Amino acid sequence: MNIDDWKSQIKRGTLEFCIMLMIKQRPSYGYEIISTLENYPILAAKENTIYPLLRRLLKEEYISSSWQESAEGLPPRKYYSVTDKGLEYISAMSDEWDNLLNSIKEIKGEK
Amino acid sequence: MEKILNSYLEKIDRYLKPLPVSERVDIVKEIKSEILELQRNGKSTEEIMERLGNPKELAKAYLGDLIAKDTSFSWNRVLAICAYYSLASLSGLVIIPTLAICAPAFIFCGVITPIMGAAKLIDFLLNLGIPYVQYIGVSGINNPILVFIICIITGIVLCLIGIGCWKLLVLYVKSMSKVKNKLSI
Repeated sequence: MNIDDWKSQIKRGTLEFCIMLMIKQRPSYGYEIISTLENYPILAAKENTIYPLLRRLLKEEYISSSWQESAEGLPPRKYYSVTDKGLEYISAMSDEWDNLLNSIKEIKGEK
Repeated sequence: MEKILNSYLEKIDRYLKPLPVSERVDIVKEIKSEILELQRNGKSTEEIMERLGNPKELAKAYLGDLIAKDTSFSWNRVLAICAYYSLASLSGLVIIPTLAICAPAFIFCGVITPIMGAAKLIDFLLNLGIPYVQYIGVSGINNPILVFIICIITGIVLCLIGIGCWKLLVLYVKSMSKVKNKLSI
């Protein structure tokens, strides 16, 4: 049984949704996002996945970014926040997600 | 320790060559920010290096999209690029030199005209008899005060046209490069 392959496919599809949800909660910077994801093994991803993904979301204007030269010895951080277009994207993804969960429930025979 | 990290960032920058400079600078700055963040959390250089992984691999991840885009050959893209360059060179041939000459010329005239008008007015009021001032004037109008006022108005209008030309030029160049970026040529 190779569950890892399947897990990585699930991750590929849901990481974007999770990152968008995280940024929606409050503006976050890259390292913060990566560290938070580390708490959830099924979602944990490395820099070489997250940063390019953030870049793509930026290019598609679902999120915007701004550098904050934080004071007192803290390094400058690039904060990401959700745009209006991003909010629409999130709500569309949420709908589809619920859709998927409901379908699974139904197929399982729980409904 | 710093040396290793700096050379790591330099390597990233080198592998990101295919990207525009502004994007490259931003990417390196973001990775550097994370390195500083990790250092602040007490991570050793080795741990940081291990976490970020091979610089080539990390850079490649950023280039992923770009490479995929470039290898997928599409006639639409070729046609779009051809159309862009035809339009850009044709319009650039006329628009850029015209506006680049008009803008300073109009502004220069716009500044000179009121000065001339003022010279005539001063000459008239103080009766200085400055040579050649008699050649300054607006055809059909003899009153120097009226000439001065007309000169001021003309000057303002000329300046506005000049500034307008300049703005158009900037707008033209900007929009052209925007389209170019969109086509990612």
